[in-house]
This record gives sequence, structure tokens and C-alpha cells, in this order.
Amino acid sequence: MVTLSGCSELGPTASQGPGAAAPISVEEFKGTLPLKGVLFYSFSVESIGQQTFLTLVDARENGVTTEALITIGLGTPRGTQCVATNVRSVKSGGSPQISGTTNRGVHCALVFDPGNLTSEATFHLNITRPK
Amino acid sequence: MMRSRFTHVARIALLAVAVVAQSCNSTTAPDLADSQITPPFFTTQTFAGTLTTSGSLFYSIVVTQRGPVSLTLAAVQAPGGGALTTPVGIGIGTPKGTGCPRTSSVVTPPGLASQLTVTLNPGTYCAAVYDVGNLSSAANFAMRITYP
Repeated sequence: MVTLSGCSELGPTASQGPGAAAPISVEEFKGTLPLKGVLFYSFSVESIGQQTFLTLVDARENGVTTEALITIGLGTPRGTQCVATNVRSVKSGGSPQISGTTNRGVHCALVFDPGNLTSEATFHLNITRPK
Repeated sequence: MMRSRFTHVARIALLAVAVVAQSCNSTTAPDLADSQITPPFFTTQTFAGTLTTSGSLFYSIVVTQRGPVSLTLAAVQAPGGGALTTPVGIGIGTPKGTGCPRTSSVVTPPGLASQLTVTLNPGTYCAAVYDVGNLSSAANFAMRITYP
């Protein structure tokens, strides 16, 4: 097996093979979603072509886990909003519910009540993204 | 014989000077046609809303080429419609989390001329309006954002 490597003035370098995964980071977006409200969270990605995953870990109305569908989405911040290109209505759970490719730049994750909540809800969304 | 050799050397020397001179001519300033500088096309958007006491709001923009980004806080008004001269904060940063951490900012009353201009590379940025403690109640505002 041949490994390509080299040296620069900054020190030794080694090539990353195809498919090499970028280091990931998990950000927690927590808040209180008003009835029919929308909230979003912005994050920056430095790598190219890697996947970002959204997981609605928890959503509660009056302290009780809600069965209502809540919309989550992945997009880019524009104006006063997060313009989502990838959305899905989900119940809280432990596995990723949305995945999408996020290239270098600023992206956002949104949480939206399409009208299913009966009261405001606390939520916890995990954003697992490349650094 | 001596004169002939001198003449031959002199011819070579003159030729060398001519070659050097021609080389120097070839390194003069490039023609105007060589210039690839494209003047930026600017977009102007108006960010208007209601700023609460101690509140902060932001508006995200995409800068497509390096150039000046200008903010003009054009108006601050009481909810009833009366114009205010109350200084508020305006700034530019990058959206992060649920906010807009500012890298450049200024506290200014509203005016006709831009109060903040920074040169930015292509990318996504945010323009923020925030109360620094001067507002005694919520106020409406309008800010122009001009960017390439």
C-alpha cells in the first residue's frame, strides 16, 4: 500500500483519501416553541460535501412528551428567516430524522409548529454537523 | 584589422543594448484591455421591524463578491409614528446560534447617510439592530443594507 505524503514549510502533510470524514460537531438547539411559531439556529461549516443530521431529541407540552408532529428543517439564513430546503414533520425520537449535504458556509436548522401543538412546547434539537 | 575587430565588438554591444531595451519595453504597464476588474453590482434591502427595549434583531444577507457593505439606520419611530433621534446600535457579523455576533458596530441616531461601512469577502453575514439601553419603550425602525 502506498501512502502519499509530503512536506511543506509548515511541516509534514498527508493526503486524505476519498471518503475521508471530516471531524464532526454536535450543537444543541434548545428553546420554547410558541404556538404556530418558528425558531432557527445558525451554524457554520468549513468542510465540503459532508452530511449534517438533525434529531428532535425531545419535545414537551406542559412538561409531558408531546405526540404532536413538529416540523424541523435544514436550510440557509436569509433575511429574518431560515429558508429551509429540506423539511420534515416528526415526533421526538432518538435517531436522526433529517440529513442533508452542507457545503462550506453558513446554514441553519429550524423548528416550526405547523399548527399541531395545543400549547407552547419546550424542545431539544441536536445538530450533528461537520466542522 | 584592429579597426575591423573594434567595429565588430561595437556592433555586438549595440545589438545587446537593443535587445535589453526591447526587453525593458516588454515590461511596461499592461494595456487597459488587460484589466479584469469588474465593478460590483450592489443590492439594497430594507430591514424594518419593531425593536423592544434591550432587544436585538438581525437580517441575513449573502455577499457575492468582495466589496463594501453599508448600513444606514434611516428611521426610528415611536409606535405612534413620531420620529425619534434616539441612538441605537447597528452592526455586522455572521449568524451564529440564535443571534448575530457582531464584528463591527456603531451606536448612532438615524440619518440619511450610511453610518457603518465595512469591506467583506463573499459569504453569509447578518446586519443587526439593537438597543443599548436608550429606548424607554419599543420603537419601530428602518435600516437600509447595501451590499455587493
